[in-house]
Amino acid sequence: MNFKEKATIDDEEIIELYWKRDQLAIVETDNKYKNYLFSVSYNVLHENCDCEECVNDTYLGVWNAIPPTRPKVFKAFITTIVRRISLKRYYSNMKKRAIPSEMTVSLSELEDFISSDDDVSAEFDSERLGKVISNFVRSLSDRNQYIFMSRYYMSESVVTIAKELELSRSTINKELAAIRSALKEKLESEGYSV
Amino acid sequence: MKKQEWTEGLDRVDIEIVEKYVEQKNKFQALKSQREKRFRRGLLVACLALLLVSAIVIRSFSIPVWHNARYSAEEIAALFGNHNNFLGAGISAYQEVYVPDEKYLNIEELSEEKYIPLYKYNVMGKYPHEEEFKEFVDGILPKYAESIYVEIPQYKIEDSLFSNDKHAEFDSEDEKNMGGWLLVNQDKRYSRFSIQRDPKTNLLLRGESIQTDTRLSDEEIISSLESIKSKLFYIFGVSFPDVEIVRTFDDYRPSGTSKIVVYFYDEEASVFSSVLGIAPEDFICIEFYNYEYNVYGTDEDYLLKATSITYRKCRVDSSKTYTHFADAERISLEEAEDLLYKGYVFGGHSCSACMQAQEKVDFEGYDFVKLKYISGKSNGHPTIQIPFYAFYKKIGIATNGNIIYARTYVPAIKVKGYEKYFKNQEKEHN
Repeated sequence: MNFKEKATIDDEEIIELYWKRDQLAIVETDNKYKNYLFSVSYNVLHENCDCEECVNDTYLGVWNAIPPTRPKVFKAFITTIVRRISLKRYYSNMKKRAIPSEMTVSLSELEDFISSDDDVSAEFDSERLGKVISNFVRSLSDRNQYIFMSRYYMSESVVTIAKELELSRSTINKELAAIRSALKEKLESEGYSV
Repeated sequence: MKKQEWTEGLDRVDIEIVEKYVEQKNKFQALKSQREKRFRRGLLVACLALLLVSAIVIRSFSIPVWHNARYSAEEIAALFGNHNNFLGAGISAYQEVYVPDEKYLNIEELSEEKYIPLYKYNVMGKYPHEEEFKEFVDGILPKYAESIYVEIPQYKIEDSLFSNDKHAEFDSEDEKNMGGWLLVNQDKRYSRFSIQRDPKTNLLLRGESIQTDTRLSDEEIISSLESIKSKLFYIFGVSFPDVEIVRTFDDYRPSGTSKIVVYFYDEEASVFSSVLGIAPEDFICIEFYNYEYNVYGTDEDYLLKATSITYRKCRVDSSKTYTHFADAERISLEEAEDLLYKGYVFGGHSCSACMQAQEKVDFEGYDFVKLKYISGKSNGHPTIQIPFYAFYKKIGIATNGNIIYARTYVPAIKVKGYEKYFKNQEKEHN
């Protein structure tokens, strides 16, 4: 038995299909990124059914966004969309029950300066906070930027991050502790009550 | 700061930071893939080296080498399920093979080895316990039910009539709701979960129809099944890295193809598949068939619907399913041709009346030859795998444009009693 699967389509070609409003764009996105999108969603939701729905909603989100957008890095673009959709579902599900996902664990690490959502009636400026966090991340070393994004943006497990970087789990945990400490300082200096 | 405030803020982190992260992630994955490939290659080389050394050592001490004939022509004929009686056959005969192109004959260059291994199929395993079978069924059934939007069907565990194999009996109403039926069983060797459909209906998973088109290339078929593959891996809780397409052709359908089977499997784990040309032990396979072809060759003829999906899992150590029990001296191609032209061939149809009506084929100037293992019980011997030379001679073109080859077999090892056996066959059928 000597059959091998064919090479995958380029991201540029996929973006071009979206611009041409060719529905093959969605098929190709699904073929290339379905497992990846599912895993991003799963880290947040830990529920196959919900993840499937979020992935399907992601395709619609991407379809509606391109055009006018022409993403520079397609994978990053769809990552933000699937994460956003999964987060919405996460908070909707949280009202009904606790979710045993990596997302919940990573949030619990930040309990030093973020509290539970018993009362989220107050408005908040997420755009501004996004800028503050972005500036903070840029101030970190490349390695720590990767660790921060893996753990808190993508909700990857410490084990996964350690394997990727070929470091021990204790090293990753130490780095995360240092990052959290610096983040707390940054947020306080920007006027956030933590 | 509330958690939701934090997550929404994080969600608005600059896209360049996400892009940098994704690019870095891709590099790590590429490195990981290279490391794994190097590791696998190293492991394979080490295993092959070990196997080679073991083969040399073991050959020196325990695998017998046969220089003389050990099997008779009668025993060889019995491999093909024939019996030496009036209704049996074994005399010169051939099968017709239809292919659109010679590449589908999978002809490989003949090797030069003087000795050729013989394999014996090992009957292994114990009858399943109810708990193990229930665990197998319950691990799959809820996810399958979810994927076809039905309630989880109820079932009873029954023993097979003549053995202690187990199978699941489903309620007929539940089967009706599923739009088909399930064949779920467990014997000494395998666990099987097979989804069967009425050929006139479409098999759907999460609303996605499973069908294919005979006009697609293998790459196109595989690409079109990516989503279905993910769903099946999820339902059965497995993941296989390799895929193989097996096409069956005929001489009357306008499309030329009667069946396509897609196997998802692991080539590295299927030790005997490539050697013996048999299906891997563990696989998921989708069978596509067209029961409603149109002789005028409309689009429907080329569209094949999935009629079954089967997950098979080996319950025993699959590396021990066959034993290399002897090395037999191989006869040369010239010696095999000698037997071929004398009509000392095997593998034909088992009905004597049909064979007499079968148009004779002169294999002189045959088109192709390759080595092929044939398995079967032979006069009480356990199932053995014997190598044959398979000869192909082009004999015509079918109405649908497929090429017709006659295929016949000559044992690739020494066999005794050809003359006596075939003379006896002539007496039986003349």
